Amino acid sequence: MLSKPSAELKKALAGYVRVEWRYDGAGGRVLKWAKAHGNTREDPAYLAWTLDSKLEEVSRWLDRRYIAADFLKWLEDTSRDWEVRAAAKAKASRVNFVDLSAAEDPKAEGGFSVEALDKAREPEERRPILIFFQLPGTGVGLAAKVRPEETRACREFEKGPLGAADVIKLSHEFTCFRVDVTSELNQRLAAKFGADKLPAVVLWAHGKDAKPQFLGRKTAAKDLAAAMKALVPAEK
Amino acid sequence: MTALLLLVLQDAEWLKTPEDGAKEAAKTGKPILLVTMCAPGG
Repeated sequence: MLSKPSAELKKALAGYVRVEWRYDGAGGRVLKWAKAHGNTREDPAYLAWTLDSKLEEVSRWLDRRYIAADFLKWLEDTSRDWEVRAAAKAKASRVNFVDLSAAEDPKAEGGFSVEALDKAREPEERRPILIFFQLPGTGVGLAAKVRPEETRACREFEKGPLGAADVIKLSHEFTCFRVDVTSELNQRLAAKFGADKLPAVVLWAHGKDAKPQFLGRKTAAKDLAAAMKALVPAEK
Repeated sequence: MTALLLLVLQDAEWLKTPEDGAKEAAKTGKPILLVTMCAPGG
């Protein structure tokens, strides 16, 4: 029986790049491909697969009875899995920074404290720390107007050393903080670590006696990676 | 499966080959839904 697609099905379909691939004969590509991907019969109609952009199979629908509700569920489940995978992939492909800010604290040394950093330094936290001191923005905003050269250098550092594959991979073993050196308190925080000229990176090994290691704005990707690697426990 | 065929025919935005789909998927980040079809009258 022919039935019109439901609004839910139309919505689910909109989440896909849709391809209708017409049968091109017994010796054609369509049947050959379908048989290599689970079709057991000599005709390829009407079956469905979801694929990634490299045409690798993600999931398949080979139920020729076509129950609309089941087909919809298959589309929605695949879509959900796809989003989870895409989010994990995106996370794995960059340094995942947590923004860090100093807060006024008259009782603390320097008149400020940084709760998240203190917490990351606690004994039960066993990860080394990476702090990226930077100015936000690209070519606009107050920081770019006041310190344009440093703002540009921060973006270049993000794309360069912090965008290098080795550094990204190693960063997943670190707690990574990003400090926008725009407020007076954050400027004091940066100065405490020697980050007067931006960008700058500080690496800090785990352990109460460990000293922060300052890496200036001219640090190359390979040197940053080497310094990070030295703080990551060797794989067993 | 005829209802699925109807869906395909009703919607003009279906691409014609997996390779076309791959290009679009690379641009949009969406997965590809590939439906194999009989030729008209098949």
